[in-house]
Amino acid sequence: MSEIETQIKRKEEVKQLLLDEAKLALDFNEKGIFYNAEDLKRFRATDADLNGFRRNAGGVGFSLPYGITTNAKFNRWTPYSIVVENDKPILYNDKEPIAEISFPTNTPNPVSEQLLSSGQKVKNILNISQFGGVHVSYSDECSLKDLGEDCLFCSYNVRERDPERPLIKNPGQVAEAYHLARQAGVANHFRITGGFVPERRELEYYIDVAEAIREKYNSFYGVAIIGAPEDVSILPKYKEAGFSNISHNLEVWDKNLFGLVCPGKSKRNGGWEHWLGSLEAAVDVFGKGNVHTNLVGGLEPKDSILEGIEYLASKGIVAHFSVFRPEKGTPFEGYRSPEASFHWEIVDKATDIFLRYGFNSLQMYSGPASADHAGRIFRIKNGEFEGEKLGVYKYPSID
Amino acid sequence: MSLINESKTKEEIKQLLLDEARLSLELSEKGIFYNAEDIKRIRAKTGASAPFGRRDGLPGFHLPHGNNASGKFNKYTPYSIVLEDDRPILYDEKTLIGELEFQTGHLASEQLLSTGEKVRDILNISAQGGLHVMYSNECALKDRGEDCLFCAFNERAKDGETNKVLLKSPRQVAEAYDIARQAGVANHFRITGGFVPERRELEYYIDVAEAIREKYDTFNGVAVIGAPADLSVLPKYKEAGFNSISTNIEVWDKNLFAVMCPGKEKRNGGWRHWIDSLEASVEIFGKGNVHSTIVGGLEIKESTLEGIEFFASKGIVCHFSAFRSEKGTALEGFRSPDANFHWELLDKATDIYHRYGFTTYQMYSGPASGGHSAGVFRIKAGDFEGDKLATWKFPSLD
Repeated sequence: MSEIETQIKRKEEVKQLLLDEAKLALDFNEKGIFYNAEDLKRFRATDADLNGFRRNAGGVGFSLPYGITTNAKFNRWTPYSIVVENDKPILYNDKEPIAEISFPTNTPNPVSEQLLSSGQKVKNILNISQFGGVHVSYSDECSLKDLGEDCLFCSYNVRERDPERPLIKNPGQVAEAYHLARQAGVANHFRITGGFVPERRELEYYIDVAEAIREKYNSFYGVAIIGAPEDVSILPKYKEAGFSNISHNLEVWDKNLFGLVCPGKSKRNGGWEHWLGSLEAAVDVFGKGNVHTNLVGGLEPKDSILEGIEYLASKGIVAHFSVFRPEKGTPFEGYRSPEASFHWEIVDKATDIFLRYGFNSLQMYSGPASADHAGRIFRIKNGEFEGEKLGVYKYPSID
Repeated sequence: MSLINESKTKEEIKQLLLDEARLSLELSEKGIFYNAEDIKRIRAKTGASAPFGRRDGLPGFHLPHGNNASGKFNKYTPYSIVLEDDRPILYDEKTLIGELEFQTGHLASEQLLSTGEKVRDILNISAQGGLHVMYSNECALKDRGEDCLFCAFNERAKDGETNKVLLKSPRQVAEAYDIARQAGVANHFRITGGFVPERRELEYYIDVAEAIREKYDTFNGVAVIGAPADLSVLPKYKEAGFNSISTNIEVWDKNLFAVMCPGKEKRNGGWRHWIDSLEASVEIFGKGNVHSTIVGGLEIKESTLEGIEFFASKGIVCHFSAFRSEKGTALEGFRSPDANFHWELLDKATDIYHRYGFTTYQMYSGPASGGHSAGVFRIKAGDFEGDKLATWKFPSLD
């Protein structure tokens, strides 16, 4: 066997190791993990790095040996445990040691702690991701609540109760926080999302934010996550404002289920067909691969979600997806997400679809926040790793 | 002891029984650890068996205060069954809960029909002294790709061992019924099954009823049917001898009905027609004698409870079960909601049944899911002696 052949063989072997590790990561989500919190205290960073979106998982995030990150809730009744041996955290499956694991050392970027002129910290306005991008939830409430039309899985209005969080961030605050992040080299992607704004004043708000950012910068690279606008002819205005990507999060592909799970999106935005029509219209404006949607994996049968991902991919739309996690205070409280094998089948087949339609890694990470769930499997399958480790994806630097 | 103290004691026992009913949901969610060999030995000794062809390692059992329970094997659970002096004892971690009693089949199940099949190949004899017949073990919706997403009917049909007779002839059913009735365990007769090709349900059910009535003037039973396209056929079921009818809507939410039951939605005039059929049935069979069922856990609690309340207000007993994901179905890999979710449904639904004045008899006279809530219904009604919820029995027909 030639050296090149040996390298190719080794690459394929590592690819399989990485895929196996990614599959294992899903099993932790399902089964949880047993550990002694006191033992792990000295290994762990602050809670903030585990809790970027304030969904307090009450568990632990860690990295597996080949670089796959995962998190798991504490569970006494699970085959998985973390045991500290010789001052090293070792992961066990039943009585079998699997490997030494590591805990995130990426303490929050110091820029998160910087103060804005209005007195808030950067972290009160946006999250800085490990990928070198920023995520802004412009509002922390959704006006669908007052109509009794919240998406059933969504805890936006539940999390709103966090008293420390500004409910609506003004464009000036967002632009100032963006500026600080960009100076620190971590604003290579800008994602803005949020609940429905009363009176659907999304467009005006997003344009105001983009203009405020462009007071200092000629351009930015970002995605506007919006509800399907009633009048799709306004879509080009987002592009004109400076957004290079757009996302309408459909949440479920099945039309009947959309009406049930997303009553507000269904009633207030012309229904499922209109959402689809808007996504397709957005492709004409932003181009293939720059239009995104999100589906919540585990709310509908596998065949349905995969049908949606395939259909949307055929139109040039990247349908990202996440793992459904029932949240307290939502109508789905008490539900349990499907088992790991279910989620693995979706991510495995969906990433094959993404590759078949020629999407690239940047597109996998340029849409909604669920990006890394499929993005990392996409990168493994595409051979985007060095040696035996899957590194953290980084957006190309824009400065 | 004063009357007040006696009453308090009854209330305390009621709470004890309700807590045990809740425990049975915990066992379903978390599973049970046991030694398979131990269970095999107990099964051989007692003849305990799993009902409805769901062949699981652990047969159903009664908890110490009489509530029914079951649980799949799980190595990682606080619950375990340990054999002590050959008696199965349930533990929650190291805390002893009590001795279990495995459910056993009836001897009549083993009797042979003239065609060579055993009675149990044709019907199940319930602990309540009633019969459950699945006239077919296949559903015609399969060929159209319109199976209900949660339903394993067509999957279970592949199991030639458990389901030896895929389509049972009216004659076989009547003969098995006769054997069971002579044994005193045919005090209720439930017949159900998948969609019959060409929707020949009515003809089949009448044939079965007529075959039974060749020997018996009457029987006590429920016909579980899909909503007929022409509602004017409903009285024919009553004329044939059925005194209850059930049309199983499976989910209350209209949107979800279309998702979960594509065949029922397309072939039977849709959700609205199913409701119409149920309401029309009340005119014929009377309030409390018309049934439906919902698969608990497919939709949000508020939706299921809204449906149960709506139906109750129309005189329809809407039973429900706890969703259990089955292999080979479109929902394989889904997990049922947690025990708290199912308990809330059970608690609130049984309050609704009581508020509308349904009876224990009606709780058991519909689809097979009746037993899921009937125990809690009876506990709340004070229908127990001492600290034990005895197995309810249908009134004897003969």
